Amino acid sequence: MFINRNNYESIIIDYLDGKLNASQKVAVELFLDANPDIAEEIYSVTGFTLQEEYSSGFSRESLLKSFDDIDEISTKNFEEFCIAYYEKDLSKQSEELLFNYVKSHPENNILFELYGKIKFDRDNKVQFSNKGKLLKPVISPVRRILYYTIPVAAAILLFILFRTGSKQNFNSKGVTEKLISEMNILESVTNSDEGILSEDKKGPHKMNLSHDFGANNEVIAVFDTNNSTTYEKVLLASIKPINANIGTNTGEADSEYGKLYSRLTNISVTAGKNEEAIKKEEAKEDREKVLFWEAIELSLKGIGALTENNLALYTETDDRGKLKGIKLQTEKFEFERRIKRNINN
Amino acid sequence: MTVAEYNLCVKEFADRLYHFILKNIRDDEVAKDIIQDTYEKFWIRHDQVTFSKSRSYLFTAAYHTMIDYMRKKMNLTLVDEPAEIESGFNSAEPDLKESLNWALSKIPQIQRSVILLRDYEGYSYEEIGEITNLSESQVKVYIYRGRLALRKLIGNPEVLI
Repeated sequence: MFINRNNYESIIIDYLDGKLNASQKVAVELFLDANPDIAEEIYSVTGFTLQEEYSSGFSRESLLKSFDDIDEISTKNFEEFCIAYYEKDLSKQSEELLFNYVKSHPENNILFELYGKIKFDRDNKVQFSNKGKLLKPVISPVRRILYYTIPVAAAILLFILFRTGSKQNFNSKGVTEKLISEMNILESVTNSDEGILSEDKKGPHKMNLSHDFGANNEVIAVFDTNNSTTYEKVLLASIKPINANIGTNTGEADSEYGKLYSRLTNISVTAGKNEEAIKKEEAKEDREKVLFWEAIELSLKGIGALTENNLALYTETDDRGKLKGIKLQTEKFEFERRIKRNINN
Repeated sequence: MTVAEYNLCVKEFADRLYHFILKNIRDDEVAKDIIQDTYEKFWIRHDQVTFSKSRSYLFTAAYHTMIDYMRKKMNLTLVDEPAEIESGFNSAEPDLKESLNWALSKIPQIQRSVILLRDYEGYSYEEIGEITNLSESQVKVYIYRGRLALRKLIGNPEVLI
């Protein structure tokens, strides 16, 4: 015996110094396994662990066997070979061995084929029905422009209607009906998008109204939010002289509002001449949350401030945040409408 | 991972995850809850997970959510306990698919899981090991034992083929 209780000390030293060959190392490890008192003594003195030694030299991998090490198939290992064949774990050589066995033992052919059928195919008809709840809203840059455009356009439309009415009679039936008709248009627009422009973990941002003067000395009403990352400019050329500039402000040098309100997002309404068409200057991911009707309200306030009409829009929502009622108000005029919704909407 | 990529992961993998969990746990409502939980965890970490690793991440998360659930609610022993193999699927006209599904429900959970990951998703032993926290060798052993158990459970091959 290479190692025993009488000679182990010198051998262990060689072992710890890495002077033993692979078979001697195995003999030492087996000896330590069989003599735990000595193993404990060695470990406590040296701080050495068997695991560390394994990683430095001897590998258990060398003890592993594969199907190639089996020369003969019998009833005892036939099924294991069948499984290995269908798992594609066999080498060509082992496959040949299996085929020859099946050929010479045809009674096992059925069992061999059966293993090929012990497989489970995914059933594409099984579907997770709540997938819709898992999806997260993605607002594309183009769509975002629309989200920003629609409320201001709507606000200006309301204002135009308001102005038209003011020249005639606010309380006249015709004007009210027209306004209701336009409100229906707004409602159909908003229903599809739940009034959410974009979202952020911080929730909706408050906007503050302020006034300034543009390059052509036009009056600008600026509604500031924060966390801006985009700048988009929209011109509603058909409704002159009132134009709407809606943007999130990056503070970039070429941005007029960027210079003035760096790092602020704004929705601005200007009174002045502007010949530009609808223009998108930049679109990046926008993470702030702005409610659709909030934007309309702010836009309307902007128009009201410019025209000294004190226009205001009030909205009422249900528990789920869906619009229930809308009220347009100035010092001289008030229009209120409640929206009927199906309970399932 | 972007939000769009996250949504793609929902569309691509939610059905597959659900099928895998449902086969394992055999309770529709629980399976749905597990998928819901899995995607909630995934969403929290979506900016740390690359799209290429998403499938593996989702299966790992779903698998461990399922195991947690089983431990808490069903008090199951999750070791490789031997199945009580009583050959013979009770059906007047035995059909292999039916028999297999029945047999699958009878084998130990770990064998069932590794076989389904192998067959449904085509994962390698190594990938299954990463998902289930097993070594490659253990995965292989469980797959072999599982298939052998399935064969014994479905009984006489001549009746079925």
